[in-house]
This record gives sequence, C-alpha cells and structure tokens, in this order.
Amino acid sequence: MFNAIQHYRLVQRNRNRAGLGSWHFEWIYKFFLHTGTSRRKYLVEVRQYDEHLYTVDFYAKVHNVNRYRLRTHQHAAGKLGATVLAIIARTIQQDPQACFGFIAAAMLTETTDENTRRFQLYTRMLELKINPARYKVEAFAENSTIFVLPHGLVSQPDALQNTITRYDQIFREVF
Amino acid sequence: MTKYSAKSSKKADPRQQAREERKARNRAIAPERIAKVHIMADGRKLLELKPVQIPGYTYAF
Repeated sequence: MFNAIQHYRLVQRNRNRAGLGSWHFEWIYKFFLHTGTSRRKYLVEVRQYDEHLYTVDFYAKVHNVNRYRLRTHQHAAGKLGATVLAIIARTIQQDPQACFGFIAAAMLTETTDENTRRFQLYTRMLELKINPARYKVEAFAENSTIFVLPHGLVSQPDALQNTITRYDQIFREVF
Repeated sequence: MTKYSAKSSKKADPRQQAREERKARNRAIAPERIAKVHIMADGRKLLELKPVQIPGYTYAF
C-alpha cells in the first residue's frame, strides 16, 4: 500500500512577502485523484521555516472552511498518501536535513483533537514508509501531531525539545 | 413515579459499555508499537514509535 504515486505538478513557489507567519518559502503542488466517476483536485502545501523545519498540509480543493476536516468519500487514501510521500521525498532530496511536522485534523464528527482517526492512519502510514535507518516517527496522541525527525535530532534531548517547542509555535500561527 | 421515569433510572446498557471500551482500546496506540516515551518540559508525552520492519518493502524516503 502507499505505492501508487499519482502524477503531480509543482504549481508555484511563494516567498513570504506579506510576513504573515514565520515561514520563508512555500511550495504548492497539485494532483488529481480519479475514482469511478469522480475526479477531485488535491493541493499539497509544503512550507519551509527556520532550521530545516517543514510543514506539509494537504486537502481536496473545496470552498469550505473545514477543508482539512471534510471527507471526500473517494476511498483513495493509498494513492493520496503515496503522492504526498513522494512530494515529501522530493523535499528531502532538496534539503537532506529536513524535519517534518503534521497535524492530523479531526473529522467533522469527532469532538476532540485527541488521537483522531486521521492521526492513527498517518502515523501508521509514516511508520510503514519511512526508512528507519534515517528517520524516526514521533507522535503526540494528545493533540494528534506527528513529527518525522532525523536520528541525529532524536538522540539529543535539548534539540528535540527545541524542535517540538518551535513546531508548537508554528502550529499556533496556522491553526 | 411513572414507569417511564423508572426506566430512565436504569443502569447503562452493558453491551454499549463494552462497545465503548472496545472502541477506546482499538483507538489507543498499542504498547508494543512504542519504542520510547519522551516526557517534554510541559509534561506532555512524545511517543517514539518503532519502525515497522517488512523485508523487501520500498521506503518512500
């Protein structure tokens, strides 16, 4: 599973000219998922922060404030996950020291952000697909955040603490 | 007291309770998947997960 990479395309790279948020660059990718009669456009936004920190957001393009929480009912998590992982792999090729942080949004039916269903899926997906010789998956079930960190960082408690604190600030900016 | 109010004071349905417990158990991260628990400065628990080792599996990165 998570091997069916869809054709994706880099749409644009933005520099943070407006100064909203502390990110420096943003890469926006797009791809389409076809299942049966449906065809949906998905957007993946990769943002770069200080000290090789990255966040990855993805959603189906829809005019709705809950775009991260909606279900598309395409039942194509394998293709979606594979494509997002391929985009992350491309980012790592450009920056081998990259760390990644994700928030697994709650479904509309879920009342808390604790241990959401997306969190369970994404942690399992990352555990499966990340080379354990290079990266480690770390997770907070309390607020459904997941981190992919290089081994060197995990072995230093102070650096790990700093990275998590920095990601907390980043997530507070965005959500 | 009507029979309706007597009905409402009954104990919770044991099957429903069992269902909730099963759901909570399934949702929790299984202890055998956790390699290490880091306690952060604010008391939160950061779970370091064990990699899943599948021979011949292709990693994304």
